[in-house]
Amino acid sequence: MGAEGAGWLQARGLTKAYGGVLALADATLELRAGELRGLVGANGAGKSTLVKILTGMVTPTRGEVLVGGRRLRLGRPQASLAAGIASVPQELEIAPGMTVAENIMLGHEPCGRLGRLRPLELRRAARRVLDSLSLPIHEDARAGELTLIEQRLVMIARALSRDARLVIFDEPTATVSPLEVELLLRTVRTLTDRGVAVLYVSHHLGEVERICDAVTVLRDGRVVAELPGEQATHDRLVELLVAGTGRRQSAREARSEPGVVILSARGLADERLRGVDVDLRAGEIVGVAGLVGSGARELLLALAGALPHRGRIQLGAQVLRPGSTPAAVSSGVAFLPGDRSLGTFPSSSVRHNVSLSSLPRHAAGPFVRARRERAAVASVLRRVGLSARPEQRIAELSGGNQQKALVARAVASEARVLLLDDPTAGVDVLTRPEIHAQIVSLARAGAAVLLVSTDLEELVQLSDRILVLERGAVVDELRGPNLTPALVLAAMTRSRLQPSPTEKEVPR
Amino acid sequence: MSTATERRAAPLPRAERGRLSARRLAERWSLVLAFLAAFVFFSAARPDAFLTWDNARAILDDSSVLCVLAIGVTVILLINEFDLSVGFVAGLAGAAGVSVMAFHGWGAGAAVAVALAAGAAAGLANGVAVAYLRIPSFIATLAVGSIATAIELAITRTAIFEGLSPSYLEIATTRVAGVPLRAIIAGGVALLFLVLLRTTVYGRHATAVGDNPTAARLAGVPVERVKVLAFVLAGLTAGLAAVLVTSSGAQYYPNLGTGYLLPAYAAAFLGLSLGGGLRFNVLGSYLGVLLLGMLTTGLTMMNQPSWTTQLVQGLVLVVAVAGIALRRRGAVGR
Repeated sequence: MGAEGAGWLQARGLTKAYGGVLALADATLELRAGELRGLVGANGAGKSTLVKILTGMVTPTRGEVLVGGRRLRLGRPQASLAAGIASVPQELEIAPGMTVAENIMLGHEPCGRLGRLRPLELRRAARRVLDSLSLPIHEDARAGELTLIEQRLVMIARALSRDARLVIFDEPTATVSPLEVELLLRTVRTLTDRGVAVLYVSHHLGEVERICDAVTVLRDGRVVAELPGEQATHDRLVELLVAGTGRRQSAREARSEPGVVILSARGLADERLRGVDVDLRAGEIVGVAGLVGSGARELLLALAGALPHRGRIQLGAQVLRPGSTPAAVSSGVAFLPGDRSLGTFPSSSVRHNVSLSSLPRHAAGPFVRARRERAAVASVLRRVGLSARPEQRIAELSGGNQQKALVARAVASEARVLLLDDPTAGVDVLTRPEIHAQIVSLARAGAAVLLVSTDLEELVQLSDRILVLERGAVVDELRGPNLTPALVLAAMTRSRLQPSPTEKEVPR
Repeated sequence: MSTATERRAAPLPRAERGRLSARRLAERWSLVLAFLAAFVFFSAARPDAFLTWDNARAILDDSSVLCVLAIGVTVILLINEFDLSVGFVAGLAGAAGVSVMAFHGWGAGAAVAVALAAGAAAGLANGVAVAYLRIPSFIATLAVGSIATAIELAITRTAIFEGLSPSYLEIATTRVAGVPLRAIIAGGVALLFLVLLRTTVYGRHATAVGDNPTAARLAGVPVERVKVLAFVLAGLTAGLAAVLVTSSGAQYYPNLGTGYLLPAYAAAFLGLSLGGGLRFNVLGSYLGVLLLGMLTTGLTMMNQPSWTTQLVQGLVLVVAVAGIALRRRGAVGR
């Protein structure tokens, strides 16, 4: 162990470049044993890169990590594990068919000679770990039958059973109900009481403010602040996260009042959504803000007909059949995902990609009228400013141009309702404003637009009003010319653990 | 605006280069090249026997059953599913068609209709199991295949029987302008499916479902209906294949379709190269069937033992699919 006062873990000058882009630049992190450190940052700030370097999943371009005074071999998950660094990832890596005990001891099962498993020993060791965390979970239970939070607690137990000295949590409370959050936070505290250091990565600034001893703030790949717990207030963190992004010129000009209600949804509910009402008017862009697990994506998918749900969606005079995308698309709903694996048909041509949702209009009986289709596609490509050859495979285009092709599909389908899911994710900075301009022009032409985006600046720039979702319900609605990313972030992260302030008015 | 246009033009050159690359062209036409190479080789080796109209006719006629089956399989592979029941379904359809003739004295036309209907019904069962019951197609079609065989054996009581209507047997003996009717039927089916997949809304939807099912659903493609129809089409081709088999054998024998499953898939995989290694296509499958047929005939003519045919077919398939797989891996790394 290192000298008294020095950190148990010292990471210095960690830098990671992907191509020419710095995901992490000269980051420094020092953790003491038993410390509970928060790590916050906007999307793309470098949080996950830092975490992946520590767990050995990513090899940094430069920099070194000392654990207990010894140099850690970087880029080797086994070396990180052996040094006592464990992580509880956001996506669970649990084996659902195995018992809790088997999951906890996975990879370091107590063995006899010739690798013979000692099941009694295994169960006892697992029980000891569970008891030490005072977890009310039976070691013989099947892991797949546990609740999500219990599975996450099993992952914590697994980390501890490996004598972990540092446990990294990545968004541990996403998709977890308030009561369960308390259980999880208590378990985290048990860890630190036993001298284990915890790195707590979370968007829920309220939680971070409440439980962390200190907070490291990342922005654009750099450590911009390291605050002791008492200074790490919600407001101060928000300020640091979005500093420099300030208020932006809106991408839209002042417009006339929105038109009639085109789409109206009442009481949308499923596993994640808890009774959401939305009205979308012609010419209106409505933003949806919410953390991972808030139900923002589910709302979008439900409206697109891609999610079975309760509640009622009405489009004009027509009530949509729930959970049917063909019904939604044929009544004029278009879904535009930013994740292109949800949008493109990689081995098909640009033309086929663009015309897919509007084929019935180009068809005579069962046959596609190729000439009409070609003409329509050519005109739509011109309109969105994509100069690719229509017969080219879409996979040959750059990410930004693929995204434009998807915009072209939405334009071609003459949709009345446009559902956008992070529409500029992974799009280069030059194409971004072009796509924004297309979205605005579609709204101006009378479409109703619902925009879900993790990019708060985009949300503020494009939206007429912003719905804030939390735990599957609309908790706030923001509007007004003085909207900033900071205000939206503050509304999104105001933790449900504290009574929310009654005064939520946004300055107009 | 002009600067924007120039910037957008940037990604084009790579695509242009890719299009003209000699290597990619060679890969694309490798099936055709293999076909021509085999043709030249056997023609040179046995000009007297191989290079004759009679032989060409025989290869086309013999390949017709496999051809029809392989085209049905192509549709299933195009939507990125599997149908392991085609051989069993062909057996059921053959039994159903022949038994109404032999036991109930129905005519040839009715027998053909019954065979097609039996195939379509089995295909419908496959489609519903896969699309609506969400059973993985591998398992669903094995189960349906097993049930189809059970029904087949129940109908026929595991017997070989004759007594087919003479006009039914003419399906296999008729020639039109010197070309066997069975070969014409196979060619017609190929043409029909070519048109279906290339020019119809259904063809586009099926291609989209195979390419990216999630994206297809979000784009409003009725994914379930597309899948069901694909399995029904495959069932229909199995029914038709059964007619072509039983009419030439002049008798029914149990499990007549079992030998066709692997060659049908082999042909479709051979045809993959013609779709740029990305897409199963009717023309490729058709050519694949003919290549396999030519190899069988040629090797037999060269007095090779019959196992060499199996060996060479297996090797050809491994080489073809490995080539595609390697290239795909390269494409990811690019």
